[in-house]
Amino acid sequence: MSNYLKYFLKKFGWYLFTLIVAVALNFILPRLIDGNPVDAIMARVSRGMTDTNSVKNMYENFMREFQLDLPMWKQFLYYIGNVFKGDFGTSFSQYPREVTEIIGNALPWTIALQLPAIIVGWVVGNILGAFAAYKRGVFDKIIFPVALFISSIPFFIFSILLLYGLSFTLELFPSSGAYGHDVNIGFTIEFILSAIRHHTLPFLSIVLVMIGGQGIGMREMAIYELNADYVKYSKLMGIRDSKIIKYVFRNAMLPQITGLVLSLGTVIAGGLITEIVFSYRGLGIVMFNAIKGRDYPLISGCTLIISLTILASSFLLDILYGVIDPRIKAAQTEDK
Amino acid sequence: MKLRRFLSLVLILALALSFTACKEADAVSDERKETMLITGLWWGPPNNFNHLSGWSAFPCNMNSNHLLYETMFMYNNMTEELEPLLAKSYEWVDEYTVEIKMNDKAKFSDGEKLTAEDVVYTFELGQRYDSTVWSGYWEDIDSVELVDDYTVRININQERNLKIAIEEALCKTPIHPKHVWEAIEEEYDYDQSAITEFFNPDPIGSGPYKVDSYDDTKITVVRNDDYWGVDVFGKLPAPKYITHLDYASNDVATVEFEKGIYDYSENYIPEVWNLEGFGDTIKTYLPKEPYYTNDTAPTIYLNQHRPGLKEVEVRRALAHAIDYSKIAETAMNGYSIPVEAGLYVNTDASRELVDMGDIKDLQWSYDVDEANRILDSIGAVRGDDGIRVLEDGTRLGPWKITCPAGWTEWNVALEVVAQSAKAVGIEIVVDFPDWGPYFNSMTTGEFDIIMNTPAAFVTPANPWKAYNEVLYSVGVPEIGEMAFWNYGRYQDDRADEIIEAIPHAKSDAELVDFYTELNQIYLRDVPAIGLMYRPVYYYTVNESVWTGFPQESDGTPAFFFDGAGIRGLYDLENK
Amino acid sequence: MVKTLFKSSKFMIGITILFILLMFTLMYPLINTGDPFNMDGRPFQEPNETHLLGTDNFGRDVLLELAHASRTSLYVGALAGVIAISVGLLVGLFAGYVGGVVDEILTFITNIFTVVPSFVILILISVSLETRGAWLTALVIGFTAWPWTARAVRAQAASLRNRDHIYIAKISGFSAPKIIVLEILPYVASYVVMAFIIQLASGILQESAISMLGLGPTNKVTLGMMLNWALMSEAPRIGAWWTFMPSAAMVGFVTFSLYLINIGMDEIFNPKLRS
Repeated sequence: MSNYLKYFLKKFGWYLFTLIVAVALNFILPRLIDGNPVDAIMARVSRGMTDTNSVKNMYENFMREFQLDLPMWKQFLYYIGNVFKGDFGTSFSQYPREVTEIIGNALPWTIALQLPAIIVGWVVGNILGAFAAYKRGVFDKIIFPVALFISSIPFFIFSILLLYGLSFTLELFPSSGAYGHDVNIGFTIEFILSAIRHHTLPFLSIVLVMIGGQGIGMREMAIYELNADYVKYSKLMGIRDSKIIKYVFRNAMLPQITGLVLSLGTVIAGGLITEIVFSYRGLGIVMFNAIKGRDYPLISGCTLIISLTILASSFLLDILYGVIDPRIKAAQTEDK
Repeated sequence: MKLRRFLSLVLILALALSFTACKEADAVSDERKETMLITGLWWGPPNNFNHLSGWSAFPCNMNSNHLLYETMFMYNNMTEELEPLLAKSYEWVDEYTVEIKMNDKAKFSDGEKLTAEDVVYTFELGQRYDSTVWSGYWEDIDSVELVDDYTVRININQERNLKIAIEEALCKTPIHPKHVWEAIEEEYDYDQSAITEFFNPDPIGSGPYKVDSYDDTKITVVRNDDYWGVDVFGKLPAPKYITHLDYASNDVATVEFEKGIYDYSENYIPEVWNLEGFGDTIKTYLPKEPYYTNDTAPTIYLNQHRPGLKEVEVRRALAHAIDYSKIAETAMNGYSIPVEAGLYVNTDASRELVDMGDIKDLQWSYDVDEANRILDSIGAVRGDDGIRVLEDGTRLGPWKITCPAGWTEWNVALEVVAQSAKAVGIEIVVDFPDWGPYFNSMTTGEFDIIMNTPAAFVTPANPWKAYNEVLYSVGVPEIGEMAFWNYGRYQDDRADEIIEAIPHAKSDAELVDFYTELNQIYLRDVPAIGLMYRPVYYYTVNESVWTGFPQESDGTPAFFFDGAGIRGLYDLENK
Repeated sequence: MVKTLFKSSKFMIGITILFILLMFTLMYPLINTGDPFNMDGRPFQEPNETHLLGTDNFGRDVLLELAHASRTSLYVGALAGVIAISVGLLVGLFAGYVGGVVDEILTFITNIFTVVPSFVILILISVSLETRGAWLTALVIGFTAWPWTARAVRAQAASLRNRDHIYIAKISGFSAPKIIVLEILPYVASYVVMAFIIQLASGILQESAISMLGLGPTNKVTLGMMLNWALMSEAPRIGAWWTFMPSAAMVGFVTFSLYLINIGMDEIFNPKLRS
């Protein structure tokens, strides 16, 4: 297995390096934005002050406390040191709340929304797509255009349409928040039911568009495979349909897996707007508000989490890919 | 295909679950009947309940000054009186000293009595920590004396001699318990930066409510049935719980308001008269147009030191170019009459102080021809792109006009201003940053044109305070440092003189003379341009669960949570 | 080959829709020469004779706004697409053909861009710019969208690398850039055209998303901005569907037509995909 080990290590090495650069980028990017972050805090804290000297003092205090008076590379070292201790800093816009606390409150909601949505969307989409490719006929002629149309509706418009159609007009679902006003967070039936109800619309808006997109992709890949020589050959040889389909699936699946990782990026964007439209308080809203408020620590924290997630799943899938398709591994390790 | 069947089953199950949970009881639950739900007093998750941080969340912020912490007096802007709360009375015993007699029944929610010691201590807290909102009053206070257990004396700064600032301090300083905060101060080593980080999760105040629970989307307070204030109000406030909801988007907030999910909104609601139930269950303070009071005037401050803008004729031309009716119609939805040129607002009290006849000829109005004429007369020639250039080569634009993002009616108003300016050859670009950067640009004077409402809170110091914020130049730091009024750094000695004289005016007639002259100066120099009127707080209620909300016809002030309007809380009833 | 394109129904439908929309965008402002920013009407008027699609919250004519907004949005999308394709093509071709260390480095750079979601970068940059011209928004969108193209082009170039005609060219002494342009590019051409169409659609989507959040081009009307104002003034709640449906539909139909064109072309170029 030494070839495989080489492949694994090489991949790991590059991913590690990417991670380091990603962390650095996550640190630098927000700080490149124009505007002083201490603004956010000073704006609030200084409202009662009339003496400019004390304002200046407060300002300098904060600069010192957040190490903003140090050169960038020193700030970065502090940052790395703190991250290893699990301390992502204190938020500016929600001072004095800690970044870890804010993200900790918001992240579970985003995961609860996106993970099922991605999985369900991907699975259902691929199944529908394969089915359409295989059966053709009426099924294909109806499903395909519908799916295409749905996937071309921008996801945020879809969210708005769902919100206004199913929530405001038909009053089938609640219109905002991740849970009702009358329940408190906790493991009660009340809360869980309320959370599920509030979860449905945002979930649907992500899932439906995902199904559309995946379905089309899968259908294409499946059609491609179904017309491949080995399929025709197998049919001629009399091999059972279901066995043929199994092989078709396996081959068609590979690009879909790549697509899954790539779509992670778009789902995050789609998720962000969906969260905003539905006032669903997850990482998306937190990050958006953080960016608007020039809240460096909070922005860095959020983007770091996102990067880590994408990197981790990318890495996992790359390894899986190598296992599933021996050709890829060979290509990667071929001698030049 | 077993997988598919399994999946469809799961999907159906999930949907079914949601539908069953859908069947909400139509009847109003008992808990709902005890709870008053509100919104608009705070945005975002609660960051702390600590006044010393300078930015504390509901219920410990200045919008709701009598819920948890209380002040010595409550201001009633209709009668212009300071109504007693923690204090019984006040008297100016001599030119520079006011004596306040406290109410001996007052006590904190932990049972300890509230005495003059706590008052003195609270003021001293403001002196030690300038992050508190009331620390600014020390500009006008020399010292605060403890006379006996229930009497306090405040000696004012004799040079500035501003009684009016002290009266505001009496209505706005939240009294903190010394026995609690002394320990907290020691714990944080009397260090300002450290103590601003203290969350204060269970604040002890003298008010009728205590913090019950909070999370990222709502804050709930629960009534203290031992509240001492039964002595002042005769009974306990009606709602057992008050929950403040936080909405990320305004239109969702409005839809839920319409459905009766909450009872009271301080948000701006476009086309409120179209809401279902308006006039019946949904009410505004004024039953007919303009539906809301017009007590303050959001204004654009023009930076007096930027090229182009420093020419008074350019500013005057701009003032004539703006379509004020359009702003009242689109930005304010008709909640404001088109603004009149002047520093007074659309209330009787404010108008009475100005001799309208004496300012009529100086007032500007929407007149595009006049604007063009003024610009032509100073030699501002239109370039190929339609934008004018002054004789010295200064191009009239692009100037940024700034207000915080998401403040809908302000955003729309500034769009109208930008459009209006284009028509006369001035290029203005709208800029909607987040609140922090906006505030910073404004106070440091790093802006071209910026929007703000002068003196936008309930205070006995109005209308003087509003004039002060626009015109007064003494004590305004240089551009680059933070100023808290007169952001455009306007300067006129006579205006300063009058502003200092007004608090000592000897007669009403003298007052009218002063205010009229200030308006004339304002109209002559155009340091700022008022764009529209709005209430200090929007007031819209949904009476599906609670009735008895104050309205104009009762004579109760329109400000439910700030000032004497809090009496409304005691008279509510369930439907 | 172009003639065969006409035979694909999907392609024809897509092209037709796009053509109609483009005609509207270009022709209507010639009929109605007004300034879309003019606030002549009363706010939130329902569609009537003077304003065929009614007015928005400012009192601006929606139909006129739509025409101008579509123009700007299409422009931004197209420019973003061109940038994305150009950069992606460059990176992908070099990485795929040259291989080795160059490939690893370029792939690494591509990965970095995937790791921080482009939309987040888009927001970050838009927030910090004081004025944003339409071209600047396009630049930012294009700049964050190229990795997708690069990756696919690289795969194609890599697989072509070992073909016979390449060896022949190498032996003949052609330089690397020459080989790329003359021998590899034609093979990926069909793919590039389709990728461009996808990038165009994606660019339009991204622009409308970022504008809807209030971070789009300043001082220009775009489809996203129309949505932004509609939402801010609570138009949906008020029931003023004409302020947001048209712009939403425009984005949807343009994207839909582009996808159709793309699939149509895909079926032509890859006969195996034909129904």
